[in-house]
Amino acid sequence: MTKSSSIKTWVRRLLNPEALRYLAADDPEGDRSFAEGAAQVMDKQLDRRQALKAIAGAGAAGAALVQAACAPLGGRSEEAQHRWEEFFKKNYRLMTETERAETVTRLTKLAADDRGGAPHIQTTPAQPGVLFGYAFNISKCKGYQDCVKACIHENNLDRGENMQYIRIFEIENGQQSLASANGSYYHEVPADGHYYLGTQCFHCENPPCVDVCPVGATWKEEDGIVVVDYDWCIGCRYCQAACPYFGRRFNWSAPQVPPESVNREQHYLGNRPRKKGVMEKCTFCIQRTRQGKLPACVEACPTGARVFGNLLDPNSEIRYVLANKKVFRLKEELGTEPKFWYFTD
Amino acid sequence: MAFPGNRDRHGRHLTRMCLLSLLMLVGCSGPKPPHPARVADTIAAHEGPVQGPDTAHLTAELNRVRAEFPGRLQAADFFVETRVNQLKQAPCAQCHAAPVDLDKAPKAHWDIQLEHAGNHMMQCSTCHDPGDHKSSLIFLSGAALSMDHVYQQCGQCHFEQLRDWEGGAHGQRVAAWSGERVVRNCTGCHDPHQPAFPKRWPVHAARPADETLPIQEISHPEEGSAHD
Ligand code: SF4
Ligand code: SF4
Repeated sequence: MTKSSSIKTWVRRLLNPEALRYLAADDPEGDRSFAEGAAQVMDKQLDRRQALKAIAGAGAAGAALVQAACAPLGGRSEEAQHRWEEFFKKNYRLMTETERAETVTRLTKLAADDRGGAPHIQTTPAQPGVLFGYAFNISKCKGYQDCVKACIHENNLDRGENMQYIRIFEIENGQQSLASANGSYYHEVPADGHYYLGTQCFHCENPPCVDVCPVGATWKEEDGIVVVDYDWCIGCRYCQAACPYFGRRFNWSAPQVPPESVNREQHYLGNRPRKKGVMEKCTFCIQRTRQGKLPACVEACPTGARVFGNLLDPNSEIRYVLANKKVFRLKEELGTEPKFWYFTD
Repeated sequence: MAFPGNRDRHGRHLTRMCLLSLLMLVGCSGPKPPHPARVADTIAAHEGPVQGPDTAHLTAELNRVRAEFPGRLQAADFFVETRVNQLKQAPCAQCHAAPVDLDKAPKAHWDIQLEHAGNHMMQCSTCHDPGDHKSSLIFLSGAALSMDHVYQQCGQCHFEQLRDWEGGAHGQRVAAWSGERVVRNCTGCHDPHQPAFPKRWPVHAARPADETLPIQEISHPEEGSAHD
């Protein structure tokens, strides 16, 4: 047995505890799938006891057996195979079209197992001539939080941690600093003598969060949306520290979404399920907006405080706002150039 | 001290120093442009007629009518959600055969509370025509108007809102950001009899501010009581 194959074996064992469990467990079902797996890979019938003998006798057989657990067989071993391939897939930006299709197939299958229904995961790319921009009317927002609720449902946000991408701040009239704002009010709104200002990821044109990522797991797409590859993120939270707007959210625990309320219309870079220890944030509802739909928050707002559109289209609503309203952005002096403006009536 | 390799070593030293200072120079300008890109510049460089995603299927089902601005030669390039097909009690002629005295409290419409700019200015008859039941709305001049084009009526006073609505800074677009532009009518969001948005509870209880952002250092004592 060559050195490289023995290393491979060890890595596989480490990454696939399921395979070791087959050896330990004493259930006939496990026995059969194990034996079948070995048979397929080694082209030879093998039961569990023989297999154990074999593994004791020959390292090469051991390698094959462990590999067997990763072979495409249906049931647990197919899942193991998918997880294995998922673990070693590339950064989304480096994948070919075929590789993207493959990972989508795997994710769809795995998600179907976990969540009791198959999602539809898009990989729709950015369209040429599109640069998304957003405007928020602080005269109109009444603090109802319909946007927050819609976002939670649209983007499969963690209900366990009560995660929310959007935050609505209640600010006393005459004040402008967010330092004196109340981000967790809960009373009848609009409260007298106050106005409301919403924040989320601003999809900066010069995003500092992207610059600091040590592994290239977050980047700005051609249409200006700043995205995260959830399977490439190592959870270092540098980006969260670098964002001057508190735009990013970290999964401290495994996100919980009731299976019946999972939004199954998903995008690879958008609302597909995240896992513990990865970063996420607003994606301008990439799964909707790349299909021409409005983001969920814009659609849900009952007061029309939210304007969304294509900055490169001179006839768009967002361009009308920029041309005809007095607009401002938060912390403009930092040079981050957010594509998210505030305006008043 | 004429070691044969000495000169050579000096030479190498010099080369290295040169390389190092060159590197430092390059390092200062870095791989990024010295001035960050401005969105305004990006827009100026790339704007133009756009073929966005196809959204015909998103707007196909919407009941809409092309917006009209009386007195303008060119037709508007956007659509407005229709109103008439959503109403049960319109036009008035469905029930009222004869003219109604609208300035008396109308019994059948007891649920309508008029809170719109005060009764000295706005009465039922400011917008509704008691005499002619062909249409349900009238302009201030008395001319008839379809409820589908109610924005024209509101715009008589709220001309600034009408202007912003036409441009897209007021109101709400429906279904799609690209393709055919369909917007809500004024009455799609506002109750014309009580146009101000009501006070109500938020639909979501916000998560307390995260410790990573020092945003909630100062709390207002008067707000504190409102929380409980
Ligand atoms: S708002 Fe924050 S997270 Fe969003 S692009 Fe800007 S720096 Fe990055
Ligand atoms: S948390 Fe993830 S996305 Fe953020 S900087 Fe670290 S690896 Fe990159």
